[in-house]
Amino acid sequence: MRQLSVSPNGRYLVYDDGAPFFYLGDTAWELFHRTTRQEAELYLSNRAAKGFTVVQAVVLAEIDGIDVPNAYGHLPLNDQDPARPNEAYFEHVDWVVQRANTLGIYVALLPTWGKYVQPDAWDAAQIIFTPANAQSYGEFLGRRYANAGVIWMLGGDRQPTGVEDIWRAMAAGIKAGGGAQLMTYHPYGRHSSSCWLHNEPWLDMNTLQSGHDRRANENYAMVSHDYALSPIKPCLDSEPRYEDHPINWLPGNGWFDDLEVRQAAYWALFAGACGHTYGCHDIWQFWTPQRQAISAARTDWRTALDLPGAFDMRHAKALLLSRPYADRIPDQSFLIDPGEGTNHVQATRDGTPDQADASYIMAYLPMLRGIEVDTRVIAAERLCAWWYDPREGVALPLGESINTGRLALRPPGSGPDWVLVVDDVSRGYPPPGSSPWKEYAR
Amino acid sequence: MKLCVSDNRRYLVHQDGRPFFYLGDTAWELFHRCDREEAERYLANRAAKGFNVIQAVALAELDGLTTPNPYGELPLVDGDPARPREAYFEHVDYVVRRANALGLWVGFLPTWGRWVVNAGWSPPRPDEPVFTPENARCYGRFLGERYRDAQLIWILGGDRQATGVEAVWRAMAEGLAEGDGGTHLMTYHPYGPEASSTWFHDEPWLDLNMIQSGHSRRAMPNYRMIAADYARLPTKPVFDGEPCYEYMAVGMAAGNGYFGAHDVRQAAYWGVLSGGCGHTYGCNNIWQMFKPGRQPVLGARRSWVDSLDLEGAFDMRHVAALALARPYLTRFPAPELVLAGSNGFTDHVEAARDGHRDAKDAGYIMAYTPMLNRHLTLDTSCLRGGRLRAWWYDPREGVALDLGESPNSGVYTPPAPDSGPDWALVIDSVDAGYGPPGQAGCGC
Repeated sequence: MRQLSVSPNGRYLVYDDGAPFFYLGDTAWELFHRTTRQEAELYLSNRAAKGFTVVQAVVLAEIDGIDVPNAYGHLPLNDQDPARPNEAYFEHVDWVVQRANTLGIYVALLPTWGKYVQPDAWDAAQIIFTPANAQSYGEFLGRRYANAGVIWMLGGDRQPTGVEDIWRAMAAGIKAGGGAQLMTYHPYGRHSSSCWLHNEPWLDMNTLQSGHDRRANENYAMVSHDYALSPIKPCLDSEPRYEDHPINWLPGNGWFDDLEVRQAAYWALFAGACGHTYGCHDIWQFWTPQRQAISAARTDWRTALDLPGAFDMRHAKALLLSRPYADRIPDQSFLIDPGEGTNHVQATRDGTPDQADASYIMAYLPMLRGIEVDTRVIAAERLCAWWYDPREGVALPLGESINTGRLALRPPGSGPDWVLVVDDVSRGYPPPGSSPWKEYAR
Repeated sequence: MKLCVSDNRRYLVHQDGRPFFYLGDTAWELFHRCDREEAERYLANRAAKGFNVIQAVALAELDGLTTPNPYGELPLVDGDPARPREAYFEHVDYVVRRANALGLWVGFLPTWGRWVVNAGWSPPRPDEPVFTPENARCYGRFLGERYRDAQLIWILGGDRQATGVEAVWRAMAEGLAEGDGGTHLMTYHPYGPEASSTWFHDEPWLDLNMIQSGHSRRAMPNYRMIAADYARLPTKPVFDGEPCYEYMAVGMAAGNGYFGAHDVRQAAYWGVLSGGCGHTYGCNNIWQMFKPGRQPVLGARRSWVDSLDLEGAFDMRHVAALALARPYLTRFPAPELVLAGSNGFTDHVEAARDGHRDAKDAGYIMAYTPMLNRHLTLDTSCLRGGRLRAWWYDPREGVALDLGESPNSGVYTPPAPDSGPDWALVIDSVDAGYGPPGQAGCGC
């Protein structure tokens, strides 16, 4: 797998040749712990076919991961000691990581779920880590996966308060072992790694979790917050509302669906995220009717692989990579009425903040509503507008027009959500989402 | 029979001081499109559901000046407001009388706004103003005299901003008061999302403010609009006179889906607990009295007759019952009591209590959560006495689940019910000795 790094402007992730790497993640927290090789293969090939580029999986898994063995009867640790990993368990992890990499998928590798590090109220914590064994375990992992396509993801749904030294030791251990890949930290809900760790030298990028507590969760505000921090680091929403998750964990509230999933993705991306993570409540726990459901999971994970929201994610990636990506910025200033709450519009463009130098603009509308944009931000005499369907990844052309400085449009009748794309005609961009921008085509 | 503003200027009361909870329905086209039998059917249905105000328009939006009522009558001679036609108003008289006989007040709009102001609305129904200050005063005097003894509330406006035509509305208000001797309350129905206070808060004729939170999106924070008016001086009552209609397409586009009972309840409880003196329900099929053969407006797709018994319409009486189940006139919005479980927008929890702000003299706290939330936590230190008793009030059924008594530790987190999604929480001081909320009366 090619090395990933942070782009020169600090905003995005790139391959070793500078081409954009679009982090399109899926949460498969229990992948190492609960699946057989055949199941892992089914999962990974399904995700590869849907355009995901990252799967997020945990070595010491949340659901009794150090007490209940994996599908082959192996526990990860001897005597629950992080300093004494069990080779047989890791051979299976090796196999899964290799299969993912072979399919072109990077693994966001969580060394452990947070419950084994951070004593917290809501889950029966089983603290097994100390700074010393975290360093040792980190070295073991760093050595073992030094050449694998992984992104190190510390954390695991917890705050680091009071145990920062353990995470620092683990990060140092990974690096000492040779794990030079990108590193981040997965926090608990409605928080970002930046809340505690922004200035840590090992934190290459920020990861936030907008969580599952309500419809239309304004994750764009969390991304905007991280985007504005100094020093500049890439950021992304690594755990938004999962598809098929009961809203606020209670089925009486209904379930998050594909619209919620798309809304979270486009809001975060357009607010400046370097990628996005989808998630499905049935899949992260690899739930089957034979297993106890966590938080009312209701669909066999093999069926849930093909829920509509999972199909829609690739269209967000395709859209953004069909235009110059490296100097894309969030910009709400050209929206006449950005709305708020359930009709909040999030917009992005290329160019420079406060300068009218865009060659394209994009705006995500979570519902059918009128939109008016100040097109003076596009330095062009002629414009070409499109409605991009985030369900199908297809753009409806609205034709060319003179740039009069204003454009007022209503999306097509079906929906509800749409992306408005307005291009500088002279750039000759392909229809949005149809093919990568020529510099990214390989 | 007369309605007044309460002594503290927050609520409406009967002449004898009993609370009047304004529970309205939008029947804008009632006078214009319904014959006597249809009006009877509509009014009887609404009375049975506990509504007590019917909002209807004399000069109706849907071509009310040129399309006659079911009896072939137009309201004006040559479209001149100074020359109303007796035959048209005899039918209006009948409907008003029937409403009053059923215990319903009429929220009487002399005219829809399109006949007063050109706000640039597009075909097929562009604005066509026919009013001047002079004929507005004359028309107002005519209506005031005619309905002097009727049970009604004058509602000027009619879905438009008043900018540039304030003088017309002022003249009409003065004419109405000249005619009825000032016996009726008066308010103004604005365009959405807007508030009458934007133009008229300081006008002496405006007894109470009305907002229209409107139909533009789900989870519209009407509580913010109510709170803004609640804070204005001089103090006047305020309520949401046009929130999202049941069966209206969200954002007026069918592709967004339709507002349902949950949206309707959410607007009602948010609007009331944030300080509203009542609330208006509405249904997109009913306001226009849609039926097969009529051109549907804004995507109406079911006849008004078949829409009378939608779920949301049944739920409205439970809002009034809850509000009136505890001392009403001393209730005030207390959003600061919500300590956890509310993050704005779709999970916003609104709360109210009685007593005095900054005093630990509350007999009860009420809160509404639009969704099940295990983390909902309220500051209960304002309750008097050392023990509290809590209830979940089901806004679908109007039935309370007793959560029992406990010592008041200063904060309270209720167990989340299984079904939902929305619930009202009532926390009483045990000392107050209240029964289950929603049962008729509070002994006050």
